[in-house]
Amino acid sequence: MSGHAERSRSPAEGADDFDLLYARYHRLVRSVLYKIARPDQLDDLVQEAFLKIWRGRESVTDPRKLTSWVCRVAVNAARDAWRAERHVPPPSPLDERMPAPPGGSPEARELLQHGLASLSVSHREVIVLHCLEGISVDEVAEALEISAGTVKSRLHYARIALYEFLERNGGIP
Amino acid sequence: MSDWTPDKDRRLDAFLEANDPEVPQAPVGERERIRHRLRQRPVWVWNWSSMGSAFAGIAAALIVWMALPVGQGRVTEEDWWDSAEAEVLLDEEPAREWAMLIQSVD
Repeated sequence: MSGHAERSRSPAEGADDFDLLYARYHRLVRSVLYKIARPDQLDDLVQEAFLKIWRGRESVTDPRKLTSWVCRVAVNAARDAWRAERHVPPPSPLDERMPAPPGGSPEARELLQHGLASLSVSHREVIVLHCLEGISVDEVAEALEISAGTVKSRLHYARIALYEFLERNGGIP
Repeated sequence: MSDWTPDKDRRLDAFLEANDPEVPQAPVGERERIRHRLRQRPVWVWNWSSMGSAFAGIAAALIVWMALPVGQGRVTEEDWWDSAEAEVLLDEEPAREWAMLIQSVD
């Protein structure tokens, strides 16, 4: 009986409670939201995402899909915020003559933030999830509810666009 | 776009790895704030949209009730005698017994 009860629990619930879920995923959720949403919305969006993660945790039955599902909730939290404001955050203005920043410097990180903001939302999502957070293509596909082929296609064009932005602004010589 | 090369691929990856934006620390007490919100009962927001849905639901239920066939909803005694249920009953009962019954009622 206890084995059956154990099997019926969702993977997100299995390890006890909210603290474990938060400890395991708050860095990922915060990082994804920081890079795809507006920084001033970050704290609110993290809260919203965790409310949805906790309330919807029983919908996840396959532990291997937990990470992609958490990413999906985070991405959807950002999308909901954009919908509520009825606009997508515009790219940040950037001085085209900005001097080339050294790698690993605050300036280079800021340039990358501007570069991410210059991308379309769909391109930004795949770059952040795959290239910065290290989520596999298949997991990104699950998170965004698109095919793996579409993820690869978006990644290709997103990387070109980001590279050209960084090259144009001196980030990549 | 056609001149995308493996070298550009590597340089972009190197830049991304070296300059992954630093994520601000979570504000103190964030977890407790989320916990507090989880304990709160969800508040149902009354707005025009939800009112419209409620009225539409009531109207639909009323229309369905009005359209109910005799025998399943608005039943009068006269209606019932015309119903399928009465027909079945009438077919099953021997005609002779019905004749006696009707005569006794009269």
